[in-house]
Amino acid sequence: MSLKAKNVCVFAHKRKIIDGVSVELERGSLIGLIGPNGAGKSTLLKTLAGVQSRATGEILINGKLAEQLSAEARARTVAYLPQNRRTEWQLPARTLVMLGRFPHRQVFKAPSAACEAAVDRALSVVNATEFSKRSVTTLSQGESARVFLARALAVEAPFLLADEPTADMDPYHQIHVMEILKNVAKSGVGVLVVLHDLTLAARFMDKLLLMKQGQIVDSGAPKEILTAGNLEHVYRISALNGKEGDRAYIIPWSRV
Amino acid sequence: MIPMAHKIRTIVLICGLWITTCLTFAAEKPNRIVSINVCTDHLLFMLVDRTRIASLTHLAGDPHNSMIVEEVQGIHLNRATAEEVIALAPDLVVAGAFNFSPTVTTLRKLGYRVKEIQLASSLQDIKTNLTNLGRAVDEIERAEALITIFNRRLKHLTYRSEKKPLLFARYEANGWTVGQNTLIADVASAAGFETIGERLGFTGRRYLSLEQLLLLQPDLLDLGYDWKESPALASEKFKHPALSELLKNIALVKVPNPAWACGSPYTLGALARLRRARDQLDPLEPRNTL
Amino acid sequence: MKNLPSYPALIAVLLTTTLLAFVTSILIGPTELGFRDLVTAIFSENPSMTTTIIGEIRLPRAILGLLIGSTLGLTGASLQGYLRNPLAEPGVIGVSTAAALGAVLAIYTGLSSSVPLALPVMAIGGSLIAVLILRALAGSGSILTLILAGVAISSLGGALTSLVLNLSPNPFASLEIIFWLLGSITDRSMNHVWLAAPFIISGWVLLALSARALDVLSLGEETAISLGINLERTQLFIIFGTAISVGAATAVSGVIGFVGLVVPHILRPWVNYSPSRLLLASALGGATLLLSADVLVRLITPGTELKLGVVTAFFGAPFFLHLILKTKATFNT
Repeated sequence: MSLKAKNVCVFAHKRKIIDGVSVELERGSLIGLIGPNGAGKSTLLKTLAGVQSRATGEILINGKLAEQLSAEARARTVAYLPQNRRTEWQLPARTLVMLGRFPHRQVFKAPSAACEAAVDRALSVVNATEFSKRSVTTLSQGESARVFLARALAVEAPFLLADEPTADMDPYHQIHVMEILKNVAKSGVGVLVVLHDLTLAARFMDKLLLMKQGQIVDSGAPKEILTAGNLEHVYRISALNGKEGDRAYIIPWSRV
Repeated sequence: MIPMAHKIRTIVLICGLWITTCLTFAAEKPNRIVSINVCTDHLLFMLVDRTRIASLTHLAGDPHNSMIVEEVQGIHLNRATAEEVIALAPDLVVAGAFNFSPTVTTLRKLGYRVKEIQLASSLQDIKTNLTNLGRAVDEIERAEALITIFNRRLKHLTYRSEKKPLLFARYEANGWTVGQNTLIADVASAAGFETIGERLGFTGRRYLSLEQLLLLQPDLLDLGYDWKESPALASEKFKHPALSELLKNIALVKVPNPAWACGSPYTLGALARLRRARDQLDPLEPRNTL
Repeated sequence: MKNLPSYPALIAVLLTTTLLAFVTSILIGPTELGFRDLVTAIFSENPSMTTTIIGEIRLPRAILGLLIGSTLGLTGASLQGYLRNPLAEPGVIGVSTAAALGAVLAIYTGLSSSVPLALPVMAIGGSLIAVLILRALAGSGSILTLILAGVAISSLGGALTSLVLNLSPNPFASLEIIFWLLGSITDRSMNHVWLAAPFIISGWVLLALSARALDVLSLGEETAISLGINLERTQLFIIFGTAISVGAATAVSGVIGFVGLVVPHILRPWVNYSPSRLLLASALGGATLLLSADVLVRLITPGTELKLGVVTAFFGAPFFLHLILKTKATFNT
């Protein structure tokens, strides 16, 4: 199973948002997509997920063009968690998570036992089983974020694309979500996460892709990417590097 | 002390003035008469010579509202606005009597003579109106002559019998029907019918549902004019299957709309049609017809 | 909500209420008819005036109440699911008024007298134009833009309808505006049923086909696409389904508002907030509501009937205000 983007370009508002990007996602790894605002990270994620219109280039799933797959097949392969995590209706959490099984379900039939099991698994991975019967609108920020993540996990797709899954969260939940994603990656899923928090990125990611102005300017392990040079050149900041025992950390410190 | 000669002179002067004024007013026959109501149009047209009519309403030239369309060719037609009336410089304005008429109020304020005629809601009213208008236009004899002819014809057309009146329904667009104290009711009763109003007990105009019409099973039905050339929802009812069902069993009469709209001697035309229909439904013995 | 009835149980209850309302509608009217008369009319061989009344006046009225009420409830639920907004319904967003304009053009120009199908087709044309304009204006689902666009379309549609009616040489035309803008199913015939029913049911089919997509759409358009929904096809089905069914319904009844607003809102908790399940429930709820309102109209003012839209506005408008106040917080997002 492979997910590849080849020479992808996206034009919008008379600008090139993405300029000839090629990237391959590996299974079993947690990859971070980082870069300053406007670099095109969310757009690249959407293109890989197949929800970005006006994209040229090729998206290949297992070597085949993604357009040639049926919508269900594509949906079963790539799960997408967008930034906007809101629902208008007061759906019970479990029902919301069940929506992730949509690509696997038959028309007008009740969910199968396999679907129910998948939902159970997803809920337990994110530790949301105890409030799964409550409606999503009554949950706290952290709880509902986990439920939305569970929805994406319920797809049980080999690839998961998440756009800023830790936005607007307190440190406890941020760390919790990153741990969940790490475990998901370990279980064999290829996870690509757009992230702003460089500290978290450095700590949890196996690999980083650094974007600037629609192109990937560097890729590799966090240590190799988060160099002073890259930080200054791409982010126009400098950071403090530290170590406590064998735990290394990086903290963005000042503007350059 | 005023000398005797002075007194006599003054008295003669005053008397002379008074007599002259009376004579002047007596001789003042209105000669530029403007009518601003289609019903008064009809009455006026029958009472005075054409030359004395300055203007009638534009509805007098509309076949849906007027019995005298051809006759009024060449007469100026107005739209009943104060402006138009003033421009015509009338010496008498004839209008229908309504509770609220800004036009009449304005004309009166500006000093014009306005004669208001009540809209007829019975055959007797027609005669009263002829008399009133006749007096206003100084054609009392002509009015009396018209009334005599009217009475004679009415007597001839009136249905006289001990037999029960049959049920007549005028069912206009969108379900409107008439009841007691209306011109139609009076004409219908003269022709030997009673209207829905008598049967159900209401006066004036009222909405009647199609269902009720079906159940009442009128003997004679007048559906009003079918506006084929400019349709509206009102025309749709002519196509309702329930009505077609009803029409299989009952008689239909077509009375031209203008004959019903205004009370005038022309209304006897409507009476004639209803009477003819009555005779066809239930012929009278010959001795009752004159 | 605790102890919710199961979905099949809810549908069974709604089917029962609909059936009761339907039968009541046939039995209520200015003339006294009992259940016996109904049975006799159905089974007797000899057509009497009672048979005609039931078959040609009461029955088409009840069937239209059923068809139109269902349409209003269904399209309300569908639009709310599609637009992810509880304030959407064909009346509020101006689709019904645009349909009325199309219908009025067909009738008062004489077109529908020569070509009867022109009536529903032009009404559908009107509602289609309205829906397409809304889609262009409302774009990313900003509530305020949508409602304002709806108000604009509604006002324009109403004004143009009045204009056409005033210009008609028929003396009754300008009074008939009350029918078009307030709605009524009085004294309609089976002709109207045959004219409207095929279109209405076609519209229902399109809306039913897009039901599943509504569930997934509650997560947003991007997530829906990523889960395999064909968004263009869904949009097309909902647009056409709404336009066709609302258009044909308005062509025979005039504009009846608020049913599509109130019914889905009340029933939503009972289907556990599932947008797809809400469709059938709202259809039945809408039918029950409209049939009941139509019965009420005949009971309150038996002499001169109140227009149907007056009754629905009576409870619908305050309800709409209440809804706006409740969602006031979300206006700021």
